[in-house]
Amino acid sequence: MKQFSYLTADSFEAASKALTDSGNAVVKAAGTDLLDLLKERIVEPDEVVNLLRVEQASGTGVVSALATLADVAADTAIAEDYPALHKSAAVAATPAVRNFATVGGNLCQHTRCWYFRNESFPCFKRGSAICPPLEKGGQNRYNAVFSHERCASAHPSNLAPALIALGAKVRCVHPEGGRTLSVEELYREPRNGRIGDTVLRKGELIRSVHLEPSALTRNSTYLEFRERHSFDFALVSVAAAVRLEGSKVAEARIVLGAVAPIPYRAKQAEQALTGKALNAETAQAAAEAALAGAQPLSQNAYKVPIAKTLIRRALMELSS
Amino acid sequence: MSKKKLRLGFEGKEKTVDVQVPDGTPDPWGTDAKLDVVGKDHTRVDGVLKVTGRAKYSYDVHPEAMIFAKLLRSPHAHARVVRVDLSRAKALKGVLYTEGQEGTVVHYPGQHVAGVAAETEEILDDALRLIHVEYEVLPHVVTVDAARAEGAPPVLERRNKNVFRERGRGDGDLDATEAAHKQADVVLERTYTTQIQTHSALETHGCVCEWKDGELTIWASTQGTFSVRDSMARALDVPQKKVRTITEHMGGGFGAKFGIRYWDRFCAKAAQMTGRPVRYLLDRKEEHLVGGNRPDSRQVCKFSAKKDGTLMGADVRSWGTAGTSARAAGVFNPGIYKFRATYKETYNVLTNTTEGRAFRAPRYPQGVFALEGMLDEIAEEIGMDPLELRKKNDVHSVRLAQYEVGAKQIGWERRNERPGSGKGPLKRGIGMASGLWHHTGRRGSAVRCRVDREGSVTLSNGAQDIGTGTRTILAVLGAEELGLQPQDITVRLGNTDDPPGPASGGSTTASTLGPAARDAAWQAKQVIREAVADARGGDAGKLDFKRGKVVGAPKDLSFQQACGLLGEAVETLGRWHKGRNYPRFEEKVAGCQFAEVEVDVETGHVQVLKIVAVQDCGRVIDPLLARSQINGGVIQGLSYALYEDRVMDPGTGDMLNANLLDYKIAGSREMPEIVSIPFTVSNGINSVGMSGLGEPPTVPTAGAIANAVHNAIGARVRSLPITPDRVLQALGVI
Ligand SMILES: Cc1cc2nc3c(=O)[nH]c(=O)nc-3n(C[C@H](O)[C@H](O)[C@H](O)COP(=O)(O)OP(=O)(O)OC[C@H]3O[C@@H](n4cnc5c(N)ncnc54)[C@H](O)[C@@H]3O)c2cc1C
Repeated sequence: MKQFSYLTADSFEAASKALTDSGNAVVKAAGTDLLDLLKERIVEPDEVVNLLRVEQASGTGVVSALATLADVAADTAIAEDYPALHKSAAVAATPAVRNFATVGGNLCQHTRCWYFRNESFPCFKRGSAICPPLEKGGQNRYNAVFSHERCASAHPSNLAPALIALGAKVRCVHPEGGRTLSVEELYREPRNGRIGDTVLRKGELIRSVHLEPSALTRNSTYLEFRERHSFDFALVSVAAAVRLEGSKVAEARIVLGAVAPIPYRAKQAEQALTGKALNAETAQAAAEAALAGAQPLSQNAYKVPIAKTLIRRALMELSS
Repeated sequence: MSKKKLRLGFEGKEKTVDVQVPDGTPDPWGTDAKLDVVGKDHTRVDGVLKVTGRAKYSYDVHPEAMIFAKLLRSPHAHARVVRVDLSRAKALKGVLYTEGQEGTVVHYPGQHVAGVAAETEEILDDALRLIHVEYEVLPHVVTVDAARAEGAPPVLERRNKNVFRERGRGDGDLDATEAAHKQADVVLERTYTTQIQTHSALETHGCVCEWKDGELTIWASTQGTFSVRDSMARALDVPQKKVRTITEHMGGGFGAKFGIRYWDRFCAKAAQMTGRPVRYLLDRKEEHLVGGNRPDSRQVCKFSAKKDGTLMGADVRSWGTAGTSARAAGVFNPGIYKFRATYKETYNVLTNTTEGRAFRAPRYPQGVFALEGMLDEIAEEIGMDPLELRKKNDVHSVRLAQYEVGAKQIGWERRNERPGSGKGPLKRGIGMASGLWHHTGRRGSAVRCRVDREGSVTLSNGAQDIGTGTRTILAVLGAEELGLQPQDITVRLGNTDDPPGPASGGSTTASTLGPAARDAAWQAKQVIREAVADARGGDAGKLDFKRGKVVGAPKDLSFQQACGLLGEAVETLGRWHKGRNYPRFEEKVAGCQFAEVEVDVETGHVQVLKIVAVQDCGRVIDPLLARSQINGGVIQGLSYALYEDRVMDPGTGDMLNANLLDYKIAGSREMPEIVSIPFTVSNGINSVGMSGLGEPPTVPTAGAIANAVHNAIGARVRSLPITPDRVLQALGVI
């Protein structure tokens, strides 16, 4: 990696200021994503600002951006009120990574696309006009099946689909003033020359995640499919939350991970379900609706049936 | 020479043969040998050192003032290196040595174009980026299909084609095979493919080099301490006696670490030029790119059989690539079973990828995957139990017995009579496959045994322990002869100042050094016997060494007391001699494996639940160690069957998954229950009766898993690795 100076911030505000003032500084939480990017020279900052020592936000329904995935998985209140969040954290990565990786870092982590992570390839996110997975011969088995007109990256985060399904918000810090965004608003389609997938401005940091318990959030779940259980990212993940009124679905939120450059909200599936009884048939119909618009690439058609299976299984879990 | 009787075989199938035992060597052990230490479980003599981190690997060697070296590698699969500008790298503070390969042509991604040695790894990293290389990019092909295509660019300038027929002794007879097909009731033609697997040893390739007073010491991560010494001496044009290799412990090799590679030479050269010790151990990316790999294969198989299960013809045409090497991409298929006639055409295909290397049972796992798949397909076609089909066409007496053991352990009767008939989306299935290997040893190896007057015993040899447990095996054999326990024996390995040993290849190290160690300890015992008889009276030949005592003299002595009667320390040299081999019970080592899997037919996920591995390795010296070897073979075979796959980008010719996240190796949660059953056979071969075990247990695993997957889902995946994608394709879901 390129050599850089290292600053440990003592508050979010100080960190945000240092990042805003500096030319190309980057922020590091646990560094499980950032270090790889530094080593591969995908980012080459002159300064790294360490966030691990800042004071953390707390309170009910508040998850600090610096909470580890293991903290989230171990929190019994979260398990009760937000099963989707609990599960997404509990199965993420490996025990060692979970013990270290943070919530904020998880939301802001970068795609695992192997072209993106190898500087010798061109990449749309890194400023090229070309996205190799979309080219002839491109090796795209792990790439997106939706929204891949210009960049076929798949979004890697477990937590993001869960938090979107739960209607969570993030509280952000910036010298020009803080703001609150829904997790859904946090993401936007890839931009040429921008490696990240969030709308965060230069120097803007996530301080905390905010959740409100409801019948919807309590009846939620998260399922993922991995090729290798020990040590891998999801090939497809689904977070679903359903509020039942009597036997009918009053509200449904279904979000897929790893199928598009950013978390993919399956609105057609939500609509297909709303007002219906939740059973094997409607779950299957919702799954079909969710994937109806999928446009698999040359090597990733298999993601489609897997996604359908996960949606159906997740919904059936929520039907009783 | 003296004539002796030797009992060979295994329980229920024994025979007695006459053997000539050369003078001055121990009697060979038969089935009736009464052994105290051999054949019992012993933990590794170096286990504590390893788990406490005190074992010294090449990575742990840090001579004072050590610096670091690294090569700059081409991102292009094929290019002319027009210009290498080292000036900016040279100007960087802390850079001590540089070289460039201007004017050369690189033929695979990762081929070196320049090199640097620097004070720290950080400076090194920066320096490499300051080297400016101008390439003239040439057309490349990185897959077999592309290399075989009409009008494909030649991979190597000096050769005008990419496809080379390899001819071998076992190529068979096309006419006879065609005739056999004609007489058969069923003829099946199927294509099987296997992927490229990189060795991915935990310890990467490389070494630390230090020159002192004109002598070079190389701490190398190698399977061939002596070949490293000899090839380095040749490369640097210095006498062999001025070069020493040390490999005290080793973090795996799997066949990719023989002799020196360019980086080792560069390391030694940089050490020579700078006068500083230099370390060059590859990083993980380099390891994937240039360390080595198992060639891939496309096997077009035409097999035939009679309705009663008699195998008739087998015709196999195979294509595979060992990168820029036009050798060694063949497959072991057909084999194992008796066919009326067989025919083979083997094509090695050049590609612009790094050279293939020997990989744990080269040619076997890929060939057996296709062979055993074909056997199952024939069994299904003629409506015969797949195991019955194998029994009918197998003549190996050991494997025939192993089939019974394995079938009982897995519960063969539980398999789906109709493949894919299980209820629900999670479907279980059971399958099996066979394997075989050779009995070998390497000429010219010797083990020294030194026993001093205080009774401490050291066995030494210059070969290294690749991780299979050679050190422990020598301790067990020495202990057996001298009536001691393994921990009483010091085994020194991995220093070429000690007597010569084999390179660890072909599963030969233990089976070469084991008999030599026994021979050495036995000779030492004769000297101690004489000393005891001289001092205490009695018949030297009658003295027995048991449980730390020497018995049979007028009064029992402890081993230490007996050694105290020596005039001076004893030093003997035991050898492995081809000429002293004994007749064999069976010519080849046999094994078979049974797998049970669970497949989610809605996601394509395969979970292996259980593997039963029954494996012969001649006499089992330490069953605990043997089971560990078998487990290792099964684990690597499972990983090959389901996960590992080198992915090249056809466009740029570069490797996409040169790390351990995207190059997927099975981890703890992919592990099934593994029932490893070492199957002891008294096999003659040598005075111990032992054979190799490093390679054979990885041969059948992929075939057994693939057959179990078929039994579970009723559809066949004919390509490795068996990914969710391929399972769903086989099922017709996509
Ligand atoms: C082997 C392995 C397997 C993995 N498997 C999974 C998996 O299955 N599912 C999954 O979801 N993830 C997985 N991950 C990714 C892992 O969860 C993330 O890397 C981790 O959560 C990132 O957190 P961090 O604290 O290490 O972030 P860092 O690496 O420190 O930062 C990541 C990015 O976020 C930015 N950032 C960090 N904190 C903030 C903040 N508060 N505000 C704004 N920006 C911030 C950084 O600048 C950087 O760009 C895996 C990682 C590994 C190494």
